[in-house]
Amino acid sequence: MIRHLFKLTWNKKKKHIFLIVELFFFFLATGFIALFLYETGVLKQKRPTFNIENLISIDYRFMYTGDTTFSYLTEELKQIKEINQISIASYIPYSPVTNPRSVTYKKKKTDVAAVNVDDKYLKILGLKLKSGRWIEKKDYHLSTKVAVIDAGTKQKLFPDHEAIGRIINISGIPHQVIGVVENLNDPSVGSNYNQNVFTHDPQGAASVLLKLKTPMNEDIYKKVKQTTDRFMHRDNIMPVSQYKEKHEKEQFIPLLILSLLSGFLVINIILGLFSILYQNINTRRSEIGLRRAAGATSADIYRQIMMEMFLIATLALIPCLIVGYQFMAFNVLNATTGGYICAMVSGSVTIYLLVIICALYPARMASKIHPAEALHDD
Amino acid sequence: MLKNYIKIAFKVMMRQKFFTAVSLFGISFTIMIFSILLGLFDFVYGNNAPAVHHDRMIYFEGMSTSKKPDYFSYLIADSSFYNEIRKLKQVQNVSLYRESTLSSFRKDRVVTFNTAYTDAEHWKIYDFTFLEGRPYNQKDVQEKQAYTVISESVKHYYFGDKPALGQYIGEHPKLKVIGVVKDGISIFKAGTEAASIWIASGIYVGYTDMQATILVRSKREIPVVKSALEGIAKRTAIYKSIGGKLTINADTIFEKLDFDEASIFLGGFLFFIMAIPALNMMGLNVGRISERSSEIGIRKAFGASSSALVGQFITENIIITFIGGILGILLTFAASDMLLEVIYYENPETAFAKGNFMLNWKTIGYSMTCILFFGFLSGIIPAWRMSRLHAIKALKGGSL
Repeated sequence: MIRHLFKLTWNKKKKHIFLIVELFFFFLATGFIALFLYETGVLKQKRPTFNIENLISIDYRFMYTGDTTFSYLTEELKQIKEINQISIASYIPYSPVTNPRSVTYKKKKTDVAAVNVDDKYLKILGLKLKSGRWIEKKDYHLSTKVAVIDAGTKQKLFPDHEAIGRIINISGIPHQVIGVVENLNDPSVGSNYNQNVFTHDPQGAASVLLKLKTPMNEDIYKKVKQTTDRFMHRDNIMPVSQYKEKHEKEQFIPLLILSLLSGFLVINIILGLFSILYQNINTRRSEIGLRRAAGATSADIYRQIMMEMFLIATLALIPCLIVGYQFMAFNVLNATTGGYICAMVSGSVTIYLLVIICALYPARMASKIHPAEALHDD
Repeated sequence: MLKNYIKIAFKVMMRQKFFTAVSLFGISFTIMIFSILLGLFDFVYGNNAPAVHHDRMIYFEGMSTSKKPDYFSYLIADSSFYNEIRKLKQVQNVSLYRESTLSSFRKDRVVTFNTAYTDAEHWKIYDFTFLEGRPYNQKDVQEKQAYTVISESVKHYYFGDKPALGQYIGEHPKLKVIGVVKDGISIFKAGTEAASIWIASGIYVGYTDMQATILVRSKREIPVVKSALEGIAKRTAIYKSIGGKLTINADTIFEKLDFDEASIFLGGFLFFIMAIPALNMMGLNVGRISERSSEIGIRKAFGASSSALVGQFITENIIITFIGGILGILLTFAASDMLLEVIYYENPETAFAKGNFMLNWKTIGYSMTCILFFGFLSGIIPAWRMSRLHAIKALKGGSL
């Protein structure tokens, strides 16, 4: 049966070349989309553990924590009664500057993003401590520096035992672990620097975070702006929710464009395949009529048409997979092997799905051809 | 003859409505994507108002040496440096500027506009359309007037429908609005085009370092000017004292955003987008023509030549692509607002008056060209194959 169908397909190879080229393009399109989704990790995002409600950032980034400007600024900001809490830290949620460090404990090593924090940071972001305690003011001047690590770092360095009290090396400087917090899970951070270590470093850069009692309004903005302007004229006051909004749009827009384009391609291909198949069946009326007259049931015809389409899809898959493998072997798109495999698998699966969808109606139509009528036409 | 072809084309289109719809869908969306991408490409690289001399402008954004005594030390490009540049005979004009921003909080959002402190030459290099008021001139700059020219979107954001002239924006310093210009599109921000608020630079306080837009007399002299810049930079006192390898950040738009790379990317993408609808149409045409084999047979029997038949089928194809193309252009206009939202996702307020920006004759011209190409491409192979068909075979209902 398969050999017979193969012969049938082969005899009309010129006609089928359109189908095969079209399926090839379809494979490429779905493959790229799958690769994009896999690599950007859109599908495996976790919920952030911090709370950005009424949180305002004043972005300085290049000023040092130990700078006296910060202490004056904090004093002035405390006068504004709408402000609930003030923290000086280097990590603004949804808009972090990654500060890569490597952390070692005995032989174990992991890469983290270091965060320069003060005693208020835990509370202002609403982070949850898993064990131990947060950095306090009295720790600032201790001879042994202290650090708080997140659950991901703990998992890497101390998978089986307690982390509190141990001495870790952060880029060569020993720190004592005093607490473990939950992972931040900041959606705007890629998978490379999603582990954090929190320390207090007077030489490190930092910005100001404010927690307001109410949502931001023009009045509060003006007050904060007037206060910061006394030290430096900069346009740097921003509600963190706006960073979040920006991040979400940044993530959403490429997806939107991609899905519009691919949607357009897919609809085009479905319509094209459908009409080509439809026309094919129409030109094969006499052949099908003869088959029916020779004893094939309508279900046989249906099965035959579907099998033919599967055969074409399989034929089309051969060049697709060769090209896909070439992409993977030479790593043309700078992605992981898993991404390429995911792309190829989803491309193949969707090709079969597409063929089934497009062939359903024409195959049904073919199975309904009446032998006498079809043969009479000729 | 042509009239008959057109008549036949419409008859055929109406007879097979479903296939016609499939073709039109493919063509119109392809044309939409095509003209949007070409339009964007043109916005980035073309000579569009206000940047009417885009192809002979150099964006000078600073210079540095490989030797860095401390973090903040870079080579300062001050006014004496630029005076040297002005003396070059290939240079038509130089406009100095400094970038800044202006934020304010309204309606629950912080909105940040890009600003630029510029000299009066800026208004000679760029060709802005003034809706109200006037640009600031050299006298205003020298007298340190706190004057500003704003774009339509800025006016809308601060003043709504009320008149803007004579009003003030900003706090430090307070700026008096003396002109309102039509919005320009800046998709990839370069130089002062990225700003929507321009401030007379007389009042600027801060670093002496300046950036510049250099207008060269002709496109061919750009390399000459660039090497001259290097010579001038090496003669400055500050470079002589520091030394090291000199890096000058002075590029045309074609170098800033690699033109060749962008062209290859665009070409590849357009091919990909166009290939599928073209294949679809080809497949449909082959099928359609084999259904019309008896018609072809009769025409051949009555003495129609192959070239006449090819001509007829290509005409038919071009007519259907043409209709699809017009639909596509309509779709482009519909999509252009959405596109703006995508481009200006960070600050939608800065794109108030830019609606329907794809309405420009260049884009339409490009689209029309590619429509014709598209119609020709998808018609030629089936038409050629069909025209070779033998008259008797065709009359008998032979297939291709």
